Amino acid sequence: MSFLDAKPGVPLLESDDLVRHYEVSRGLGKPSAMVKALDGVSFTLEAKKTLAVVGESGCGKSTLGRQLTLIEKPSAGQLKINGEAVGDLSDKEAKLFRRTVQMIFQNPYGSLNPRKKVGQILGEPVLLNMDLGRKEREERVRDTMAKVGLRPEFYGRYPHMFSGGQRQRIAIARALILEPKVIVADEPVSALDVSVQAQVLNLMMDLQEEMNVAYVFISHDLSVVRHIADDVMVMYLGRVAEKGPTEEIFAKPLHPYTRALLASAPKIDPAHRVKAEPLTGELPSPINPPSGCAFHKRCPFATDHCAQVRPELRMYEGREVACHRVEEIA
Amino acid sequence: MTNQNTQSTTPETAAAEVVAVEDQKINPPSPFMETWNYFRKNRGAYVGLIVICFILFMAAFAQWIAPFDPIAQDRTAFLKPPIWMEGADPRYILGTDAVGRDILSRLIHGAQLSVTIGVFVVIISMIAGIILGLVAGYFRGWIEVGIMRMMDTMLALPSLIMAMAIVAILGPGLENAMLAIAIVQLPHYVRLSRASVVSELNKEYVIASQIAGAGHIRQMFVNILPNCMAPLIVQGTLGISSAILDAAALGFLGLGAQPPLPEWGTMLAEAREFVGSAWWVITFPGLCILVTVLAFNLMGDGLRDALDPKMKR
Repeated sequence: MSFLDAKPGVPLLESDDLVRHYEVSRGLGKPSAMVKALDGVSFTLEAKKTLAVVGESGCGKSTLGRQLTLIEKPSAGQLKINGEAVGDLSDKEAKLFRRTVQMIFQNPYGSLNPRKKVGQILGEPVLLNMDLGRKEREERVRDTMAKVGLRPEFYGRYPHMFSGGQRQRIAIARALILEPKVIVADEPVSALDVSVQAQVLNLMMDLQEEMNVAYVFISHDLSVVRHIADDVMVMYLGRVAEKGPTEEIFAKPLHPYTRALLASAPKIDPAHRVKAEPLTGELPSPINPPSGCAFHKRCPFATDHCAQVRPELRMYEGREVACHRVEEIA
Repeated sequence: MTNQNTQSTTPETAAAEVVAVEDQKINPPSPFMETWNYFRKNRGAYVGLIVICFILFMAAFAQWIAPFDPIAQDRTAFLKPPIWMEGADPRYILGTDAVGRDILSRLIHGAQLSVTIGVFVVIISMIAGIILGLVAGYFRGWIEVGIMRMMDTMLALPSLIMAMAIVAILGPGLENAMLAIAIVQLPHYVRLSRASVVSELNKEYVIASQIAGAGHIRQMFVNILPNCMAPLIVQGTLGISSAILDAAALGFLGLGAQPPLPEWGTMLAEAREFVGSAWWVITFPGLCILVTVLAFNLMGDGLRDALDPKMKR
């Protein structure tokens, strides 16, 4: 098995109906409930592309990230890399997998071990996954530090000596050091100042050019997504609401939820404002999701049909939408 | 004259300083030197360390330093006061006890016993406690329930009574008393390390290491444990002092150090009937315990600060 080899015509990363349910206990004597954090999500990611996953808090985007990096095993569905299903991995396969998929975390203050120096933090993935001597390892760490714009003397410093932006550079370096094909970035800039956000985003885009890496970019910040993503996947309550090229989705959102999401993002230029009702109500509980279309209780276009039958993703105007009334709305 | 001299050397000194600063930037000091430099700046901790070194020196060379045999009795000198008081025997600097033994010699020899008890009890207890706590906090589930409920049961019993029960089973003596105290102290370390591990476990750096491929052992001992050490070190230094006191209590009850061993706590217990008439018999062992305990606490405090990268500049 070698999922490192790219095959022509086969997407780099493919998620096939990924499902992740969590069992939660509701106290003594009551039956435990199922939280459907991820309820059948499929997508493909081509090499060197960026797929943005957007949605409100609790819609399952971070859960998706955890499945993609195999921190957790999906309850059902398959993850494929270069067409090969990733199931139970032997030690050797796990090493290969780690050199294919890596992750950047949201909070650069929590994602770096405070007891370790930058050199040790960056050296750990190399130590565990590559057969390199001490000298070669240090060389690789220093090379990667240079790539992300960290000065060589930072090698022996502790994370707390750095600002948020520099810490996130360290986190990016750690994800890149194994030269993976895919990096799952879970809200990588939302903990940073706006001025630093731009720096980090530009760094990520430069590195994409340089190292041919594909990003799964999890975010709730639509302006960031527009800046960086090739494709956008909008999620609602563990399912995909709409999926398509970034430009098209931002120019003409089809799903009512996408519209509401875009309308809720503040914009300075009135010409760019999308006219739609802002979202009312809360995200429903994933323990007990609404029948039919999960969005029908908050949707201004909902009908009885929406409340009864769950819409599946279907092609409409070159992208996929999960809405019964997309023809009428558009 | 001096001024001129200073001025003439200034440019060179400045240049040398710049080079030194540059050197430091490129070659950070070794971890040990780094910790030591921070530790040294904490005056209390430094004093504590000096006192501990002094006590260790006394303990190591007791045979040669002590003027008398600690158990030799002098029938001509019962309860002699210290040398600066009236009626003192000039041979016995800190006086003698009820059976004519030199208190200074007993204290110097007692340092051996007390330091051994304190250090060994804490080492045994800490190693076992950290491993149990790490396993409980890291694996969770029924392993955690099993370990923690056992520790709760141990905490529910009064510590001295439990230590007595253990000594009663194993038989009286210093080694068994140490083992008993180590077992009694165990729950503190288990609970402390489990609590720290649980709070560290969900931090993103642990997940990041998991994605990097770190196995269970590496996660527990290389990544998580160093972040949990600060409270454990403080608890450990406090544990040394309470171990010394517990050993004294067991000795007093006839279950710990057996007479005529010059253990400080046992000396206190033997001398309690002379509190009114001969204060020196009970004061000096007490002072020894106080100073030792204080020194260990100060040093533990400084060690925690020096080991915590967040306190570093």
